[in-house]
Amino acid sequence: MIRHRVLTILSVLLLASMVLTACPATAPADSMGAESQQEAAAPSPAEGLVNITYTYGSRGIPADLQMVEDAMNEVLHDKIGVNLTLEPIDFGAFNDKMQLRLSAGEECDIIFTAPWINSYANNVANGVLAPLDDLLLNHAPGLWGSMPPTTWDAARVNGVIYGVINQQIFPKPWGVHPRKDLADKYGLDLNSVTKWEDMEPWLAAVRDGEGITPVFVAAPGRGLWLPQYYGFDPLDDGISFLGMKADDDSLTAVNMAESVEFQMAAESTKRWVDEGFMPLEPLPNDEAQSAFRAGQYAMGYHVEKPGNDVEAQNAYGFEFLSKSLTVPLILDTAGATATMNAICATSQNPGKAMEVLEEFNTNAFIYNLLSRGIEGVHWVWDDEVNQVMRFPEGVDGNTSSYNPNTDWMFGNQFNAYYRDAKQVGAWEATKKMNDTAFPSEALGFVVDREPIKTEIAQTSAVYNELVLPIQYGWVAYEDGAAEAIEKLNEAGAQTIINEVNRQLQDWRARNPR
Amino acid sequence: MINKKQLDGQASPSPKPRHSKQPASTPERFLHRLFGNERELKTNLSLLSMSLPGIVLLFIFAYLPMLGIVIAFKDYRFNLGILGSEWVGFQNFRFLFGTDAAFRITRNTLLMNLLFISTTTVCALTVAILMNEAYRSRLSKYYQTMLFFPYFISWVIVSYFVFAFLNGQTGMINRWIDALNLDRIAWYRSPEYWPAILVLANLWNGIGFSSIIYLAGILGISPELFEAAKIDGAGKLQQIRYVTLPMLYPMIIILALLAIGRIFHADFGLFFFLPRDNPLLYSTTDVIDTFVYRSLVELGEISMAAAAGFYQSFVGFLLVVGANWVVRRVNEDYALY
Repeated sequence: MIRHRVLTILSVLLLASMVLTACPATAPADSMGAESQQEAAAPSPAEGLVNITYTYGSRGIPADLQMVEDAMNEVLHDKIGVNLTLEPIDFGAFNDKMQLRLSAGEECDIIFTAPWINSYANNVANGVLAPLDDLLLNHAPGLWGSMPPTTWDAARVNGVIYGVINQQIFPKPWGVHPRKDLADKYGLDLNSVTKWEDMEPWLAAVRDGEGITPVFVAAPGRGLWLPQYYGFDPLDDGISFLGMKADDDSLTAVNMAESVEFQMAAESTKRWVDEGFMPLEPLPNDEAQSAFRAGQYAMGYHVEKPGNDVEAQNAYGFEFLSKSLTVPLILDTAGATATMNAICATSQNPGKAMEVLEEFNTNAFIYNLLSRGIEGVHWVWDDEVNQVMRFPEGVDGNTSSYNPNTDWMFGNQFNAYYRDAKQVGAWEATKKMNDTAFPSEALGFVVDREPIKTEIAQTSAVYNELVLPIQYGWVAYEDGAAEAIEKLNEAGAQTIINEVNRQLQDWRARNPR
Repeated sequence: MINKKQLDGQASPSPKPRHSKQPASTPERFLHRLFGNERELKTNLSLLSMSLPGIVLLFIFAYLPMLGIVIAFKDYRFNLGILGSEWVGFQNFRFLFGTDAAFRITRNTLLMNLLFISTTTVCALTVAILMNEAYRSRLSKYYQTMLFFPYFISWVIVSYFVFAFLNGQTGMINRWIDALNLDRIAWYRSPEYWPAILVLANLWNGIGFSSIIYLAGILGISPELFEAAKIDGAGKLQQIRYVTLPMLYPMIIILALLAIGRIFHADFGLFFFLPRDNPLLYSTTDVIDTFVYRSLVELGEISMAAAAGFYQSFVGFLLVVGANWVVRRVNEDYALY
């Protein structure tokens, strides 16, 4: 077959970076800089304005982006002397484009980074992010003061902050959101439910009465194994089996696949699949969501943050109940750093970039402009006293010409206007959850993957192959676990655990409690 | 639509002068080998200059990037650059061979690609011969287009076709099985069926492309040969056996050699999307490319991905040289070089 096909995302990245090596790395960066300065001179002739770009992920590019950008600049020009350029990149391409741009040394100012997309850990390891401690103190005192130092610690790598944490829900209150109509019909008393297994009588009743598979699961599959629910701090999103009991003051990382909690979760999941509570072959995400809207499922289980019942109602059209079953709530590094904005090491004006981040996080007007659009155009007040907004007549979330719907990406979410009167008070409740969550003993610890990357690559292939089927309830724990654990160890799981434990002890020595 | 003119334009490459007289000194000899002697150069100047853009592109996109091989041996860090990053030798290759998955992915890659090469060659030849017989038929353009069309459909979309056929709850095939009162088959949980499914999907996708190439080859065969065979009393099958196939051998061998050069590169889209990255199917569907993706998607290590790519290319190179050597031993005229 003589034909070219897209191989893997990685090899595309590789090829592209190889091609880029043909020219000296600094040349494109310089010419880009010159270009953007010229561009800046054209639309904003005002003296002394500094150009700052903000690059982030977006579900498509909003039609009225330019209008919002202009409205923001009206404020930012006078207030901090910045001309902001918004640069949304479609989510599907965001990770690849950012990694390519960063690997090519292209200039940027503010970028969105997270453990799960445009990887924070990788970006720090690659030295593409600017250290922020001094910038925060000097240029963003309001932002710095908006969170306790322990929260900021979560973003520290080797003692240095490289990312500005967006305030939102930090702990993971895993729980259930059953449909209210079916909960009433089949007599579910959510107050008496304290663990997954308490849902089973109701699930059985719904399965028999409605003839449906009650629990919403999308492909490839999902189980009840959620580390925080079982008291674990998953130390690194990229090392699925690695975790530490959040209250373990001896800081001992373990292989979670070997834990009794994992066994419990796997056995319950298997039972749910066998009993027909969960689909054995889940539909792809889009189809599963339409099936949920069509009433083919009775319950979802997810992060049951305050107001999640309203969000689920908006997504699926039914009225929902919502309850977190995670006790105690755990504040871990991954949760606190789930979404961040960072400043590029290549930025010409890191100070001004930080001032922009100060505005994103402390200026509710700017923040809502960015996340919701312009008042009277993209939204109108429903109840200004309680800060509840709604879409204008004849417009909804899908038809709006500016509705990024990613509040958590832009800054302090507690400054967001409510979308629904029922949500009023949700931010205070969420902030309280953050403040009262039980901080993991390893809060602020970040795994240095460098010495163990071969083992991480090996074990993650094994984990996906042998542990996931157990986790998803396809293979019984007693049939698969022994082999899975043995193969994990052969692939270097113990080496990883030993190294992480050494790093944990080092970290503790440098950061005494 | 693909018309005859285009096909003829694509017909087999002209034979290379093998034993032309060569000047003595090395650089001159090199130039000579490249461009022929002065007179040849003059007569071919316009052709050579027409090929220049292609050669330049080939150089930029195929030869310059080879310098990037060095990434495979470095601990590549964005801010340090390729030359500045630390040299780590073969450390990046370790993850490929550290577990017993190494044997499985190598076996799957090789066997599946061998299956693909053999089935595609046999089926495409058959189809090409049939299309040639029907070449003057009104419907021949229609056949060609229908066969060629799947080539343009992305594997992501094909994966949804396959899912519609095979899924456990609403899949068409399981509905048919129901109608026949037989036991349903959980396709996405039964690795043993997947080599066949993948071979079928690959054939469906690629047969149009390959058969067009063979058809072009058949159309390039001088009609006199067929006439002579007819006069000697050869039937259709004998014409195919004694005229068509022998005339196509060089082309079959060249295409097979090129395919063997990529035998270590699995078609990522096919192997990733059709089985839906399902762990239960890895035993027969996991190939080097999907394994590398799965190992590194979380880690984002460019160096390790580069190491895997280098390993694949290196083995592919050895295989091409080896296969060419074998072909050369059998019949020198059929060898690539």
